[in-house]
Amino acid sequence: MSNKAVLLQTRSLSVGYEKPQKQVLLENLHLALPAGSLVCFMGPNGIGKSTLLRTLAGLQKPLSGEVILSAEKPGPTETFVSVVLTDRTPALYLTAEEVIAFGRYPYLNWLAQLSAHDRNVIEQAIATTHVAAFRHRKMFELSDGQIQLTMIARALAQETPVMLLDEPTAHLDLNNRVEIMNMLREIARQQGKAVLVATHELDLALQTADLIWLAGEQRNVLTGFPEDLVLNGVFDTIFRFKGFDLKTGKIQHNPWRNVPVTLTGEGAEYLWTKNALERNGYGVQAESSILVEVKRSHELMWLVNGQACHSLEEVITVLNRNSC
Amino acid sequence: MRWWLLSLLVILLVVAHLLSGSVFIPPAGVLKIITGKVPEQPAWADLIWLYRLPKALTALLAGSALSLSGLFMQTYFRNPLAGPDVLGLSAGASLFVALFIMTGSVLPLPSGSASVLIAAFAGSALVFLLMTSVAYLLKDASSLLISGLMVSALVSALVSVLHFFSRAELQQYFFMWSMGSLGHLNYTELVWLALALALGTLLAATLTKAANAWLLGENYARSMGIATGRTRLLIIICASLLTGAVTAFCGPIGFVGIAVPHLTRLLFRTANHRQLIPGTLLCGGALMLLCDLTAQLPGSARVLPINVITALVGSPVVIWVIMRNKKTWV
Repeated sequence: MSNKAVLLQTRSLSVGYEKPQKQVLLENLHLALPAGSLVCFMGPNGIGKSTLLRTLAGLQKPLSGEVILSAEKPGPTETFVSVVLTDRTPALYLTAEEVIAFGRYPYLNWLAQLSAHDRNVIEQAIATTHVAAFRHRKMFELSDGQIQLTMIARALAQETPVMLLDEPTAHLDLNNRVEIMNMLREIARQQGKAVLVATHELDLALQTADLIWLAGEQRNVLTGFPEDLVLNGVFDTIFRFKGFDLKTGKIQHNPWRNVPVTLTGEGAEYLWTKNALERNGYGVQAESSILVEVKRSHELMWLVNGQACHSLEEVITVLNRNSC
Repeated sequence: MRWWLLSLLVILLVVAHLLSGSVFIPPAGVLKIITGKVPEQPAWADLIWLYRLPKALTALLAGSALSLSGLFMQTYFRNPLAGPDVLGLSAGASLFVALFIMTGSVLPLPSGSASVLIAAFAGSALVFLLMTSVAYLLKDASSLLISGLMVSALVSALVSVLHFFSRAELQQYFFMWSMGSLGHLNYTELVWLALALALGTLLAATLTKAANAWLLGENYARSMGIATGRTRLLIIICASLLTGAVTAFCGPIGFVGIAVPHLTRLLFRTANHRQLIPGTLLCGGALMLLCDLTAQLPGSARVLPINVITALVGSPVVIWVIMRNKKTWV
C-alpha cells in the first residue's frame, strides 16, 4: 500500500457545517487515497460520510485544514475528481448515453460539441459499466440499478484520477451490489484510479476493499486493511454488533435446546449442515451422544445415528423427534 | 427534417398572417407589396406594412421569447410547471411598467421603448430573485408554484390599484395592455423586442452546457466544472430580459411560456438544451402566430384578446403535464 502514489490527501481537515450553527462532524483528518485502490469508507449513519465526500470533491468548503490533489499538472478540480452522489437524479427526458456524455463537459467548449476522442472515451465508459443494453433508453425508463450504472459511467467518462462515490449500492438488490463493487475494484486496478466508496455494506466492503476508512466516535477516521480492522476489534467497537460475530462472519446462535450434536463431513456440505443445526438450536460439539454424518457418494445424504436422511429438513425433523 | 418542417411552418404562418384580416388582399397583391411594387389599391400597402407585418413579426418574436424564458425557468427550478406567468415574472414586469408610466406622467423620466423595456426587465428580475429565495427556503416544488401564483395575484392586484388611480386616458391604455395585445407595436418597439430576443438567445446558447448539467442537480453540475453562481445569474438575466421585453410591449401573455417547452420536448423527444433552445424558439413563434391567426376570427372584423386563445391552447397542455406527474421530466 505504501509504495502506491497518493492521489488525494487531507491535511488537518475538519468537515461539517457553518450554518445554522457551527457543527463539526469529523476533525483533524490526515487521510490519503492511493492510486489503483478501492477504499471503502464506512461508519454509522449521520457521522459525516457524505459531508467528507462532498468536501473532498470540492463541493463544500472545509471548516479548516485542506484537501490536496496530487495532480501532475495543475488543473481544475473537475478534471481530477468525479463524483456519484446520493442526490436523487430527476426523471429526465434524456438517454443514458446523453447523461454519460455530460461527463465530458469539463473538456468541452460552450457548444458542447463532442470530438472523436470524446466519443471514444464515452464508448469505453459504456463498455466498462455494461450500459450498452440500455444506452438509448430515457433516464425515466431505467431501474435504480441502471440509473446508478449510468451515473458511474458518466463519472468514468470524466476521466478523473479520483472517483468518489456515495452509497452507490443503496436500494439495489444483492446481484447489482456485488456487480457494482466488483466493477469499481476492476476500475481502480486496471485504470490506476483511486476509488473511494462510502457504503453501509460491511460484507461487500470486507471482501472487495483494498483499504477501509472507518469513521469513529471521536470525530476521527481510522484506516487500515479490512482484515486487520476485523481482527483487532475496531469494527466491533464502532458498530457494536448485536448477535453478529464479525470474525466468523456469522450470526451468533444460542444452543437453546441443550442438545449437543457431533458432526462429521467436509466442504460446503459440512458448513451448511452446521448452519442448519445451529440455526435450530443444536450445539455442535466434538463428543456427544448424537452423531450426524454427511455422506457424499453419488448423491448427497445424511446419517443421523445411522438413520438415513435425504434433506437437511429431514435431518432436523428426525433430531427434533428424538430430543423431545 | 423536423427542423425544416418547423421552419417551413413558421414561414407559412407568417404568410397566412399577411393574407388574413378583415380586408381581403389577394396573394398577388401581397406579393407586389412585399417586393416593393405598387398594388392595385394603394391603401393595401399601408395595411401590410403598418399593421399585418409588424403584428406577424411581434407574434413570432414574442412567442419565441416567452417560450425560451419558460424553458430556462423550468430548468432553473427543475420544475415542469415553472413559467414566466406562473411564477409572477410577467406580473412583476407589468407592475414596473405601470409604475414607470404613471410616475413618468408626473416626473420627467426618460420616455421611450428602451426605458419601458428596462423597467419591465427590472420588475421581472426582482420577482425572479424573490422566487429564487422562496425556492431556497421551501425546497418543495408545489409550494414554489403556489407562492408564485400568490406573488402573481398580489402584484396584479397592485397593478389594478394603480390603474384605478391613473388618469382616464392611461386607464384605457392599461386596460388594453393588460389583456395582452400583439397589434400596436411600431417598428422602433419591434426592433427593441428583436434586440432583447437576440441577446436572450445568445445568453441561452452560452448556457447550453450549464443548463444540461443543471438538470442533474447543482452538486453534479459543480462537480462537472459548471460555475453555478454565474449560471444562476445568467439564467435570471436571460429569462427576465425575455419576459420583460414581451410584457413591456405586448402586456402579460399567459400559458405560452409554460406550455411550449413541453410541446418542444415532446416533438424532439429530448431534454437536451442543444436541441431545445432552437426548438422552443421555433415552436414558440409558430404557436403564437397560430394563436394570433385564430384570434382574428376568420371572416370577421372582430379580434379576440390574445390571452384568451393562449389560455385555450395552453391550459390543456399544463393539465396534461400535471396528469403524467409521475414522469415529471424537465
